Amino acid sequence: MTMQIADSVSLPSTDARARAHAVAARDSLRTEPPAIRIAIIAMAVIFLSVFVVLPLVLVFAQAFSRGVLAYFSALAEPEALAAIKLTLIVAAISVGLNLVFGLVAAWAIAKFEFSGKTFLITLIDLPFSVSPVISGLVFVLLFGAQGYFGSWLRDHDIQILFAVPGIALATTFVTFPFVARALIPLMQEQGTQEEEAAISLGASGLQTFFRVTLPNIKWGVLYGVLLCNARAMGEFGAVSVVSGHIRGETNTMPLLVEILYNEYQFVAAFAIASLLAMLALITLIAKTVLERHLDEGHDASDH
Amino acid sequence: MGLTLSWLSIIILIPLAGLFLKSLELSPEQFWNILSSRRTLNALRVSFGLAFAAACVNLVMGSIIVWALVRYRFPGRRLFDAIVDVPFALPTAVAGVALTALFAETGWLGAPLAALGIKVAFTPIGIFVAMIFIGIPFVVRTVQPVLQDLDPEIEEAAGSLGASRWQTIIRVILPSLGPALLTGLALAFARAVGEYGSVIFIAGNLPNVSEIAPLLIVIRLSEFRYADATAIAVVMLVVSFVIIFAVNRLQRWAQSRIPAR
Amino acid sequence: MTIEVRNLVKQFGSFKALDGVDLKVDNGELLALLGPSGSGKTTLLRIIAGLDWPDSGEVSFNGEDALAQGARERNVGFVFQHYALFRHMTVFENVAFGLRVQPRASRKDEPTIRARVKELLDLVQLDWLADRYPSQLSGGQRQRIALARALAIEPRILLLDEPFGALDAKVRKELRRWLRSLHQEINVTSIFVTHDQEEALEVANRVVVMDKGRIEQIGSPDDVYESPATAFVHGFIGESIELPVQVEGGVIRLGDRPLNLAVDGLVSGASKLFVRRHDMLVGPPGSGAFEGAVQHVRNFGPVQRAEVALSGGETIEIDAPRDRELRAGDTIGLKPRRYRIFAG
Repeated sequence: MTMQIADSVSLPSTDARARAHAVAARDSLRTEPPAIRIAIIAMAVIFLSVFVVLPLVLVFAQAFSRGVLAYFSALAEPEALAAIKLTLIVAAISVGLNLVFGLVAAWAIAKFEFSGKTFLITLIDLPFSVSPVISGLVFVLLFGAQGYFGSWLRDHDIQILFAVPGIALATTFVTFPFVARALIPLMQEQGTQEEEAAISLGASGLQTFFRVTLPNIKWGVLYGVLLCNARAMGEFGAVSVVSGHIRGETNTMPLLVEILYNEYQFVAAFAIASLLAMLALITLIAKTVLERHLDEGHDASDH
Repeated sequence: MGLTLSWLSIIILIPLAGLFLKSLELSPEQFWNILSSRRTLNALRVSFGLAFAAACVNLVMGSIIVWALVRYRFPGRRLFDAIVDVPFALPTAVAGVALTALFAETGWLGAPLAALGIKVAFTPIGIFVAMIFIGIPFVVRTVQPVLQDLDPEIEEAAGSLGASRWQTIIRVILPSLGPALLTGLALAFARAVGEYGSVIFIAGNLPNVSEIAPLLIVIRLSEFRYADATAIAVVMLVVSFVIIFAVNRLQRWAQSRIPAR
Repeated sequence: MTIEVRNLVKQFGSFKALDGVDLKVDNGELLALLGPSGSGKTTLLRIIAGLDWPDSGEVSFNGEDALAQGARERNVGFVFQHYALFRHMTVFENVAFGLRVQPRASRKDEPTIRARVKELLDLVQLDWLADRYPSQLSGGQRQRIALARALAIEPRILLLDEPFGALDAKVRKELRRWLRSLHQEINVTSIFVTHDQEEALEVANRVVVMDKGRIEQIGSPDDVYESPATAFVHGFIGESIELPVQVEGGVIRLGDRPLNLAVDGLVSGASKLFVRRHDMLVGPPGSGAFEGAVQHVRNFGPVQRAEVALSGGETIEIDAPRDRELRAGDTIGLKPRRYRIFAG
């Protein structure tokens, strides 16, 4: 405080305005004038609020619009319970499959050099950029009545389409990239030195995997599983094409939301939707926590 | 290794190969007739046109959001940073019904907009809105890390060479973000083109007006017109391939400009 | 252009980066700011450039208040440690940048800009790289392009932050010589920051030695080497032997042992005795001020470096000419040809 006073007293008054100008000049080197700053923040906040926060709030508002009782009785409907059960089963199957093969795929890509690697990476990414409807369509073409395996399946009395296997397959297809994508950069960064050290110390391949590789990537695995699960439970387009919409049998939660909504049962539709929204929020929170873990691991390996 | 490849083949390659095989059953003439039918053309036009428009909005708004999140400190910044991922995490059907209820004529936003004479739900504008919703994270999450890692010294260098703040942004910062911006645009576009769940509720699904290509595939399937469905799918798939390829090239090109330290 | 800095103070949190710095730089000088990391040298350079601002104090160029201007009005060329080249622009466009962003009224036309950039690329001898991108250049080439870019705006002052810090030893030596001759050619008042004493002593006309936000000494390279003003400068520049001594009534003691050395000046109490390694003369035992046993000897060209355990308990390293071979186990006497004692 005293310094400031002394400073301003010692300044010739003609310099005062020049200095005020300099304060503005100093701030402008790496940032913008306050008015523009406020405008940009306001635009970002308003845009996100309107397009993201509001729909999310609306889901819960609609779900509880007839009170807590209506909400829970909607969820207790046998149809709802069947959908929840089916969703959990399908998610468990596809997450399990993708966990195993995501690990193997990431391991192959990160730790070995082979021709066609870029092609393989592109292939892994493919389900991300293909329309979910097309993902469903390919399974109809394979296993449908007119499909390549359709008649063979009918002869052997195996039901894939419009049944749980079809839903699980389609879900596995669309969620395929998550685990592999989470692990590839992590494993590439860690390189092969630790594994080589373990093997040189006499560890077997499996021992090396479980004692060296896996502990190093455990947060990455969890991260991949988390995102894979969220997408598996929420998948709509692909599942919609292969499920056949048999009530109480092949309706997953997202499909039930559609049916209830189209039947104007808004409270019930939004009640199921609110469960899925909750899943999304929990996933995001867990993801934020995990990202912190992954960053820490990253920093630790830097030093 | 063999396991990986066989798994990939089973889960990804065989289904896709099936799709192309199916399309080969069509003669070029049949293929062309399906694609050039008015309804198909309009569905593709709606999907591609609106997806591109939405991706452009996302490019602009995404850049603004990234700038606010990276460069400024404001209350709730971390919360809004997390919120960006909601469209990615929220199941598309949930997003679909929520957006529809929000923009319906009786909805929280639909009612005031209707008073202004703007109808959003059940029109192409509704499709546009849903596509904007699902595209936000793609631009933000591709550009954000690049802006974060941008060397502060290049801005100081531009300033000390006499560039105004505006010149620094236009001539130095934006070009540095260029590859990331284009990648984000392409990803948002690819996602919006193929999007189904969050769009069909709000779209209105009027043939030739507000019917998207993925919905037309579903309709053709339910009519057992597999050939029609396949032809449309092949066109969309080829576009996806081209986009992925372009994005990969773009990334590699951007990588090559990063000086090795 | 003369630069004058008065009583500059800058604090980052609780860390005092600059603690009352006064400095005058004459027109056409090539000045080195030398000090360990955290000594405030880069902060001082950035304040002069307008990239940072002091908490208090004044900076003037030719007597004009420089703090009244932002970085972009000061017309100062700044070369960053990591070059900060614009990676999306070719070498040519990098150098042209400062000319292209000038206000429309004073902006030169395209042929003039092209000619000027060509001239600058010739000056740094890299005209053949005009169409390359920065990522295609070596470190030394990037450094020279960064310099050409800074010179394009015809700066009144040229500031360089650790200009050779990121380069390998051989390139560094070449560029040092080159920078000195370039400075003679363009004769712009220049300041560069370095933590490398050899670099400062070899390139600069004058050296400013800094430590902990303060200036320890300003002088010619010979001055700071031959007559260091403070204990810090003596320790930081050149290879020094540092011994803790007691000074009482004109007698210097190392431990209990009085040393046969004269004390000049007003030092008394606990002090530090500094001797350059090559200023320790070797003689027979009992002949000098110190006595000790040789532990190790290694040869470096014309000198032998010996580790000597003094009888006071300290171990020092000396550089002796090779006319008299030392061997491990020898007991020798040591006499400093020149020495300095600083309080503390």
